[in-house]
Amino acid sequence: MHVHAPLDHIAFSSAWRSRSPVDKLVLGGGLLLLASLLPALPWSIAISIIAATAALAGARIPLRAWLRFLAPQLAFLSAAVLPIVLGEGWPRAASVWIRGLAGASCMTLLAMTTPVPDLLLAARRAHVPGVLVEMAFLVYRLIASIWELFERLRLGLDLRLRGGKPSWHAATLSAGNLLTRSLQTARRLERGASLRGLDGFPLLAPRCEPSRLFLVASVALQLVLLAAAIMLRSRYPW
Amino acid sequence: MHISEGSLPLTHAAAWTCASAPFLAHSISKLKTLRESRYLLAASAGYLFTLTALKLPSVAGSSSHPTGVALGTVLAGPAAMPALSLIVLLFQALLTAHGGLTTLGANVFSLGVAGPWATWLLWRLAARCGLGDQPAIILATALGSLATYACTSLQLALAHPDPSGGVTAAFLKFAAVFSVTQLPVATLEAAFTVVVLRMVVNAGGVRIAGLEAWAQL
Repeated sequence: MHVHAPLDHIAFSSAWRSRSPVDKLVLGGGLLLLASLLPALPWSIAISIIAATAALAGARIPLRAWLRFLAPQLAFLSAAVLPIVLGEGWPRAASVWIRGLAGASCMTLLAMTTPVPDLLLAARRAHVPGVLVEMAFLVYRLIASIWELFERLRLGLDLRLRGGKPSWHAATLSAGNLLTRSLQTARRLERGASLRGLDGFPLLAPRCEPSRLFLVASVALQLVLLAAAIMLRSRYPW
Repeated sequence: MHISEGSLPLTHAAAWTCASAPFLAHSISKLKTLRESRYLLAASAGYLFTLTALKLPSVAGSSSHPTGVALGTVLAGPAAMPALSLIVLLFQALLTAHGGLTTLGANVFSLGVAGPWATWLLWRLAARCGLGDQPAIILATALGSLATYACTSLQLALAHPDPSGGVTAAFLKFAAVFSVTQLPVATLEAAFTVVVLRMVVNAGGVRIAGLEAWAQL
């Protein structure tokens, strides 16, 4: 299972890497808000198409990567709407599924175009409490080390068991081992930072100014969607 | 846990965010007082991220997995959990496309508020009733994990009430479906928490809120 690298790697290599996080937050966040606000049909479908177009054509995210991250979310949604099919019927289940598709598309667009350090830097500039941003950055830094440790422990377990399934006890001991090593890694990191005279971790990300054109285009697109939804309210009731 | 993006109406998402806000504010002020332990708290949050990434699909846009709530509560204390949960949930949304951004408030409430406080109160209650340390931990972990899922079931039932039976019927339906995966997960997590805590305590050198109280295992 991939946890840390892929989405962030895609975000680091996307064509929108140098674009300000504010641009991407306004586009992705605005569409996400509209997906939650407007009726699922037809607006969630329109929002899904816009998000996919922005990701594939604008940010030049590879289609395979887009589908690879969207597919599991849709599989979850499909399994999830089953009780709604049984309880409230197909129309309601389809509505929840389509709205979920739009929400997942917007979130994936944001995640695939905005690396986490950029978002944290934007959060700090937006006066999100410093202690929260600093803690988030430390967690982000440690997740990479913990995941690497996890992979090493899993490989060791696989080799010891020659590919067999580990017992519950062995898996739990590995998990305990992972936690103790994670705490040791944190202590080493803290000692290293302290020896270098660092209080906390510096957030290093290039400062990108928001593009007025991009922001205007994003807001205009969202207003057009909202106006269309209001005008067609009698046909597609809220 | 982990209600996915688009599964809650905007009003519900906003209401759960408002409900989480005071706990988050308190939690952030708590983090300021725990500044000396920030690396260890961050390691605990990173560990919880790894633990909760092991997920199974479940009902209405949600998923089942070990919550790590009890472990997090012990390592960080219940007051610090809302902020740590917010960070873990945000990273899960942004790094693994798991959970959601509009549903963040609802997910923080179940994973960062309901679960940790239920675990903490149950553990204290069990200790006061004279239950031994290990049975108290097992009971608090299992019931705390189930409290997290009960909260998620309530959130989903309020968003998707049953046409005939209303919120109560929907809650029972969601809780019943969750229980298929979550009862075994909660039981295993209880034993898992005891073993992992023992290993951490035996390794020594860790002083974090909550952990010292468990060191008498």
